[in-house]
Amino acid sequence: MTSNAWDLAALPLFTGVAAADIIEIARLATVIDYPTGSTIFAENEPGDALYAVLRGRVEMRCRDRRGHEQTLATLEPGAILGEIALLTDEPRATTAVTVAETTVLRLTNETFMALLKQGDRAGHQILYNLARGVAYRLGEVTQRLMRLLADQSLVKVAPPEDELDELKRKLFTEWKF
Amino acid sequence: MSGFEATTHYFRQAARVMELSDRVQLLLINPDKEIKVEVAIELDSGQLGIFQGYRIQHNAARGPLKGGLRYHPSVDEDDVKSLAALMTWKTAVVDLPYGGAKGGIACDPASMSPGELERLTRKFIRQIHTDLGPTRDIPAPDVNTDAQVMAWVMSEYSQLHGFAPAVVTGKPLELHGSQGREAATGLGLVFVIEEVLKDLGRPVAGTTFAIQGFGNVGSHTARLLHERGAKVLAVSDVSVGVFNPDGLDIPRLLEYVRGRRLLKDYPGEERRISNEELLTMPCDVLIPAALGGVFTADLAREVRAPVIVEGANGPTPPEADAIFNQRGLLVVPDILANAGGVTVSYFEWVQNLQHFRWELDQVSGQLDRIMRQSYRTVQGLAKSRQVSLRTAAFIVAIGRVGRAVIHLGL
Repeated sequence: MTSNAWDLAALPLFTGVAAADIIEIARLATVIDYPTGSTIFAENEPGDALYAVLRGRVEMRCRDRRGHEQTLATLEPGAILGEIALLTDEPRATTAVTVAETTVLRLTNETFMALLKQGDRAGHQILYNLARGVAYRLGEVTQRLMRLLADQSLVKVAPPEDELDELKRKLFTEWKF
Repeated sequence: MSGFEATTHYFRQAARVMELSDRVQLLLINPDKEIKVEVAIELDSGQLGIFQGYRIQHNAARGPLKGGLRYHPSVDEDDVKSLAALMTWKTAVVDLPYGGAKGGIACDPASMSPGELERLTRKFIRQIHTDLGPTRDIPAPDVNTDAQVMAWVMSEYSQLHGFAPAVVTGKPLELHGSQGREAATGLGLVFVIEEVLKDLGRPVAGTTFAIQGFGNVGSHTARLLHERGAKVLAVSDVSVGVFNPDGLDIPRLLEYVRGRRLLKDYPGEERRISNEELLTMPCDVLIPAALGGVFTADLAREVRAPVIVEGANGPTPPEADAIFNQRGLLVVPDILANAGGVTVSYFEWVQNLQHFRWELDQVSGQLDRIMRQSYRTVQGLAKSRQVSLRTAAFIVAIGRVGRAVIHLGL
């Protein structure tokens, strides 16, 4: 099934790309409908394509050190997924699961790289859009990391008043020597 | 288990007995300030040498910070942090008006010339001098640093701030050092041993000892015990142990090692034993005075001495400590037993502030009083609360630091 060029034009990934180029890309991309609870791709699989959410919702999940599955993010229409594997050649770091009836656009790595290699303006624009998306995500991850560090940091925290009174009682009476 | 984890383990053990909240424990366990610098010097070869230097200031509630400065390739942040905390508890157990700190440079002094070591020391002090001072933070000798290194510390600091001998202790006797500093840890250990034996109703004379380590602490301890009529059955260094069931000729051994020679080449007829055999031999008092972490769990089950006095820092990991306690052995913990060194450091600082020199008997007399009083306080608490001497020592220390924190206000 080929995609509708209008769906593509609405994606941030294709912002600033000329309509003629979008129509060409639409011809190369496929659109896939998933029912709720489908796995689009799974952790450790080789990454062979990049996806964009056209409709619905997708959760990105990852197993922590103890093997518990954690949800890292919920993607709304317009979001890109699977681009990291495209850029790094590493296996998928996360699992993408639909949590609503979802339609995604699928662009294989080969197609994508061929687009970039044409070296025209569209290729540069798409690459710029992709980099921007990754940069925003990195910003979010950094902020989240800072919050986590702040929570865990062994910063000296003044105990609340009753805790201090309790400490005083302990040190000056019970444990006075 | 790393040093920091072991110190933290013993701290938590005591804090649990006191039922302190998690946040209060955090308040007391984390360092006030961590200083980390890159020390760059020109090596003799003309090459650039860059070394990592640390000074961790753990808790200044009870007074200026005090703690050694060590030069060793294995020096890292975690290690120094643990040792800084240990200094807070140690100075508190013997009630010196100090907080705890520790510093060090990751370097291999054995492969460095005196000139390189001097440049390294002076550069390090120039980098951290604003955090040092006679009323701020007072370093002392530690692993691979001696009176000469302390003299450089004093010299460099004094060039920046004016004459200030009290900025560092463990200086040469001719340069504002103190009488009795050399033998201080061993003498303190012996005062504590005398108190322990008094409780057990026996004199030092005739009591049998095994001492692991024949360096500064081990050799002075052996000498002082021998002078008091004790029978030192075995001593060891890194190479081997020597053993005589009737007691070793300690003066002869001391004379021999004065030439910086190893015991394996000692010409006497004494039987040679391994360090492991020494730690598990039958005797009245066992003194580990070499490295940290010497008691593995297996060894701890085999120890036959009913009394262990920790001359070294951290010879007993938590697992071995639990075995000793369960077997009912009496362990006098490092933070109490080997506090004689820092106590005489304190006397040196006092003399420097007074610009007045004490005679040896004043040093020994004051050390005698402080060590015996400290042991009495810890022993009394251990008895009344039914806890080990180690837990009691930490409780005494935590109590003193905690009360100072409260009086100061947060």
